[in-house]
Order: sequence, then structure tokens, then C-alpha cells
Amino acid sequence: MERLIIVRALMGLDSLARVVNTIRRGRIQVVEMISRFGSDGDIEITIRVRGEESEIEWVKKKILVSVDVESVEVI
Amino acid sequence: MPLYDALYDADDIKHFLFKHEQGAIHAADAYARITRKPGVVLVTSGPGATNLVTGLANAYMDSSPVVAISGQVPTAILGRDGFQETDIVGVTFPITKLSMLVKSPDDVARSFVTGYMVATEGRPGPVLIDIPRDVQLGLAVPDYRPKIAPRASNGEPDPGVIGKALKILVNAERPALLVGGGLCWSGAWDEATAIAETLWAPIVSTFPGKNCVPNDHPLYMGPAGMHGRLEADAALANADVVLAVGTRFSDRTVGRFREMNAKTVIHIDIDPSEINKNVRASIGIVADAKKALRKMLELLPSIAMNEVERGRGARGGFIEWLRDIRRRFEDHMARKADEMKPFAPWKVLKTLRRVVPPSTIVTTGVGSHQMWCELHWDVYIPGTFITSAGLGTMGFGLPAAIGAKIAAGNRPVMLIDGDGSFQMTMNNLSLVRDYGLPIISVILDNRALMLVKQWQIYMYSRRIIATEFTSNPDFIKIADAYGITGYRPSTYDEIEGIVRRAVRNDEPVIIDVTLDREKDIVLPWVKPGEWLANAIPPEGLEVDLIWRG
Repeated sequence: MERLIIVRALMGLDSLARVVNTIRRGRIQVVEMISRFGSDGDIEITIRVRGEESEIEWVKKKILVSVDVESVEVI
Repeated sequence: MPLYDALYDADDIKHFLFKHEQGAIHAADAYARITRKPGVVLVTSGPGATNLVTGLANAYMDSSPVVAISGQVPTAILGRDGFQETDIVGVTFPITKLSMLVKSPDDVARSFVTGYMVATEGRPGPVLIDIPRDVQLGLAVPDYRPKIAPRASNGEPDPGVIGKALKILVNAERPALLVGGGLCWSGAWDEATAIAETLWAPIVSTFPGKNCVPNDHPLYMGPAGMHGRLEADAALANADVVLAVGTRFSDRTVGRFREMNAKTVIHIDIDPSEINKNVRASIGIVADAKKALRKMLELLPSIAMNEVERGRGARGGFIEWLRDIRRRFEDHMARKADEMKPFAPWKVLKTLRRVVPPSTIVTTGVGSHQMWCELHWDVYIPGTFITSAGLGTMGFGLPAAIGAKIAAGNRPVMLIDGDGSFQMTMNNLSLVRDYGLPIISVILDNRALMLVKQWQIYMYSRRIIATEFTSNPDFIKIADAYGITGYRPSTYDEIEGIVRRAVRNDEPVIIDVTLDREKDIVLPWVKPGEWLANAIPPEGLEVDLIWRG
């Protein structure tokens, strides 16, 4: 299945690096990734992924435990 | 340098100078495990920082709150390959809870407040704070607000879910508790044993979970898994319902996930990403272990107590069967010990356990000696067994013993190490005399990387390569070089006498216990990818790990 994972975090490029590090260890395929940076370190990362629902869910939970991540949505 | 210069006047901060950064961070890790407060390690940039990597990964895998502070080149030359510049923040992203480059003096206090908060809240773990030289030298406007908000969850469980879990447990035929390292961080050993006693269910642990329950508790069966105890493997393999607390369900503990997934699993963990990671949970409870287990104990009387009592009665036979496996296993080990010359690890550990006080903190390296400890070292007081469980870091034991001794004050600290592991960090022995840290070091010396050699014997048709040392240094001379008395005993009585004197006199010793490397095979063993019921027992012991009612 294909899903969008939308991550909102607080530490700019560092948050992006942490999210990428988590995703690359998940058993999912990344189709597209777009990041938008705010002025105060806030960042929104939208990742289109393909994979099994349970894997996508695990990646979501793993990203969410990063202390700089405010929210993770899967659509 | 600027930060160290400031330490010159900081009389209230105790500083210990290690011989290598890896030793320093393992010591900080052990200090944190004993005190449950962050252990702090301070290193220079470049190689100093990269030498922390193994220690950070170790602390991350075992959820230990280490705060690492590294120096960095001035911000003006960041990214320009300055002398001793490394992007240590980038290197450590995957092995820390948080790593931060502090870019402004005004950000220093905030970074430290944030680092301490993150290291200790929720599931503990390491944090790295990287401070460029000009930031260290700058004047700061104090600002102690954390850079990120604390996590909202207070670890309270949902009572409705706890109630559902209890009903499943009460109605189970053969429930078992599986406890992991999370139980220690939560301090929930009393609650775990109380649940087990109420349900009359066996307690099985992971390897780090061994440190979280008194090993002489009548319902504790020991650690399960690759080098677990037979009665623990049997308890877990034959359970219909597993209450798992503070564990990641490592492949080392369960062997194969397929059979575990067929069971009803109730999984309590403070880290939501652990639920359903390796094993599907019928009920997942994201909560602090102590709070969740306390809630279970509170709600238990509201469950029909006659059902609880009926269940307890029915489980008596299962518990007795597990205890019978334990008796036969121990009797067998006692008989075999007399055949293994000059020493059998089982008997060495029994001798040591008899001599040192229950409060003694034991640290280990990684290898066959560690697996012998997993099987046969009895932890009487939770929190007194420090080992590298998740990462399996050879060389962890000695610096961990130093960190534990710094934390533990007057309590005895004993290192049980292997010769391979000991040699990886033995340069830190100098701290024993430098700072008056009387550690008892016992080296189980088989002149081999025995655990790997064991795999070569069993899985590679005895094609033994790169696991036998042609020569070791003389550990007695090594001890002498560091001003420590070394012994090479030839009887168990000698070991007992040496350790008894060392404890009584509060003196450091190094004891080189020679093993026959052709016979030092650690069994039972569950081969990688095998199920627990298929554990290979010690040679000559026949045991059926399938419960037949």
C-alpha cells in the first residue's frame, strides 16, 4: 500500500536527519520526500512510502519517539 | 580546553581521568545504571569524540542515561576539515536519543537542561552535546528553558486496558511473566514478583532482565533464550499467555518469533515503538512498568478472586515441573564440574557467590564468561548486575566496574571477565590505584574468543579460525605493573580465600582463573533462529522441554 507520512518536528535539518535515519531502517520503500523549513527550526516532512501497513505503522511509531518530533500523521 | 579550564575551579564536580574515551563512557554508563542519574563523559573533538561511538551505541541499546560532552572546532571553521574536526553529531544521530551542536554561548545552558531531561525521561538513553571552542569561550546569558517540551505522557496506564489484560491472565492455563531491563529502570521488581505470586506464574527474564528480580525468588526461572536456563526456556515455550514487561523481545531471548506470535501476549513498555515491533501483542500497554503493574495489583481484587485461586491451584503442577528441570540441571552441572579441570566456570561462580556479600555489584565483559554468568550468577539484589546486553560490547566489563565502584562507594564491586574482553580495555586498570577503587577482577582465562569458537564448533564443522590466542600477556605481571596483586589459583579454596581477603581488606586483586579451552562450552544453547523448546542441553543431560500435563 502507499501512504503519506507527515512529520512535524522542531530541530530543522537535524530532525530531518533523524527521520531519514529511522526510515532507512524500516522495511518500506520511499517514493518521494518533501521538506519545508520554518524560520525557527520547525520543519514539516512529507514522505510518500510503499510497504506493508504494519511496517508503515512501526516507522510512524519509531519516528514519533524522537524527542524533537511533535507529531506524525499517516494518510 | 576552555571547559576543562573551568573545571579547575569546580570543586563540587568529581572528575576521573581515563586512559581511553571508550573506557570513560562505559564507566559513565555503569555509573548511570547504579545511581539512575546521568553519567557524564567529557572528551575532546575528532578522535576523542569518535572513540565514544561504541559506548554511545552500548548505552542506547541498554537504555542508559549517559550525557556525553564533546569539544568541537570553532564555528568559523566548522565543515572545513579543521584539525580534529569530525561531524560527531551526524555520526551519532542513530545511536543517541538526541545529539546537538551548540552554536551559540546563549544556547549552552538550554542544551544542557534539554540533554539531562531527554536522557532521563521516558525510556532513558544517551545524549551528546557538541560544543565548539568559541562557544565554550563566549559569555552566555543564562537561559535554562529546555529547547523542547517534556513529553506529555506521565507513564500512567489506561485502567480499562489493564482490566482486560488481567482477565486474560487470570483465565490463562499457564501464564508466564517475561521481564526485561525496563523493569529495572522503573524499579518495579516488587510489583512484578507480587503479580507472579498472585497468579502463581513463573517469572522468566531477558538477559538484562536478570538484573531486575531477586534470582532466588521461588518463582524466578532465570533468563530464557540463546544461553538461557532450561527451566526458563520451558516456562516461556509452554506458556499460553505471556505478560511481557519492559522488553524488546530480542531474537536472543525468544529465538524464533513464529511460536511467540502464536501466544497471547500482553506487552507493557514505556516506548510505544516496542509494541508490535518483533512480536504481535494481543494487548499493548504503553506505560511505565511500575505504574502499570501497580494498577494491575490494585484491580486484581475486583476480578473474581475464586477464579484467581482456581488458576493458582491448576498451575501448581506446571511450576513443580519447571522446578524439577532446574533441580536436574543444577545436579548435572555439579557432577560435570568435578570432571572439568582445573576449573569449571559453574563451580567458580558458585564459589564467588558464596564469598561476596549479596550487595556486591558484578560487571561482566562479553563472551563465554558472560554467558556463564547469565546462566549461573545469582543476582540477590536487583540492580547489582551490570552487563552489555544489547550491543554485546567486549571490553565493557573493566571500565563498567570502575564506574560502578565510583557510584557504589563502599559496596564491593567484582568484575567477572574473559581474557579476550579484558584485554580490550585493560589500560583503564591505572584508575584502580589512581583513585583508590578496589575492584576484584576475576578473569575466566580460556585463551580464546570462546563463544565465537563455540559457534565454529557447532555450526561450522569445527573449522576454527581466528578465535584462539597463541599467547596472552601474563595477567599477574599486568596486575603488578598497575600496582595490583595478581593471583593464579589452582584450587577453588584458593579462589575463596583470595576473594574473602580482598573483600575484608577492601583491596583490589586480579585473579587469573585458567580454563581448559577445549571443554569450555556454554550449554544450554538455543541455536540462532531455533525455538526455545529445542534448546541443546549440556552433554549427558536428557530433558524434555515440552509440557505434557
